[in-house]
Amino acid sequence: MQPTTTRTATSPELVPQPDEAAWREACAGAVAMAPLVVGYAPFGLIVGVAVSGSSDLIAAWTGTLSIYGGSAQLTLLHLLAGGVGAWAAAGAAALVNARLVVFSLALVPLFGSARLPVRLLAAAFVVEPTWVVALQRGDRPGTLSGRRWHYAGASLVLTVGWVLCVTAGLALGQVDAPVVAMVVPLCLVAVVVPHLRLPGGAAAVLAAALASLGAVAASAPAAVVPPIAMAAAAFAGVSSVREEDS
Amino acid sequence: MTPVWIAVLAAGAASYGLRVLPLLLGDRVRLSPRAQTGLRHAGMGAITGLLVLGTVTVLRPSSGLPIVPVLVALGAAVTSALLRRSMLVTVLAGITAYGGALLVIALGAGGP
Repeated sequence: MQPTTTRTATSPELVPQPDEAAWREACAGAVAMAPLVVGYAPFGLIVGVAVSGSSDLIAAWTGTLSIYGGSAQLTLLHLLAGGVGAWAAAGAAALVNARLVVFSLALVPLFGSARLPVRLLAAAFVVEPTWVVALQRGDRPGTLSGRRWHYAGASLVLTVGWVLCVTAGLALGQVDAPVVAMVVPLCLVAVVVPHLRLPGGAAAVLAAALASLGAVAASAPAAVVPPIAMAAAAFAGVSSVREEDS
Repeated sequence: MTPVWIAVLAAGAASYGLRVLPLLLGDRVRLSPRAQTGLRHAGMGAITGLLVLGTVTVLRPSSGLPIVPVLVALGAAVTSALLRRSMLVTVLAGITAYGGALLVIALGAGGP
């Protein structure tokens, strides 16, 4: 059953109206996303703690929606706190989010034929969890519009959950407890370790870690560490995959 | 406009552009497998850099945290992540290990 569409006299645009099947898909998407939101909650809290340390709380918090990627937002805030210029920090954050091109490309079969407003809206929520849920839904039978409603439900739950977690972390950041600092590496371990399983992932992570340690040992400013690690990881990861292929 | 606003808006615009371009251009956007690999690894490289910085920070005496429990916590977190547990479980494993190590040290210090 497809969502119905209506045409009004004032608006010639076809506006999709969710019917019962569409709501079911959206709810299923929301349910599928819920455990992922719980899993990402500590990371959201850590991003919130980083937001609380910013010189401009509202601007830093706004990045939760505008950047819509914890890794990129964390990198941006870290670089700004280290005294890096706004444009350089934005460039580094955009580079961290550049991986989303790959996920967006994978969603072309789902949204490539959708109307322009739908594509513009869907793009705003492209990130690992929504991509994973969309892929899982794609493996099961159903209509294209059903899958899109599924994505919409998942995106809504992720966005609300993520914003709540970051906001809670912002409040947590006001607590001056050393143990809060310990949770940062614990969260990042949970992000980095799964990457080891990708082709070239181990080489990339190892190169980034060694480059970072080298920079720290050389007393380089903390702000330059992530860009150095990015370059090392990209080079090592690509080289490693090429060697495996040859 | 503060530098934070400039950075957040610029990064947000660039991030959105990267997300929307493939959906607007469809099959006309193609990245070589090498470029896709490089992009994925570069992003994780930045996070690894932050992980190293975060670890170095908590291991410094100025952090006020005891070194051994922190190392135990990191070890537990790595083990949990290697076992494909979720981020929440991994963080809880680390915190539990940290508390356990603190307890063992406290009991050891109070022993005969």
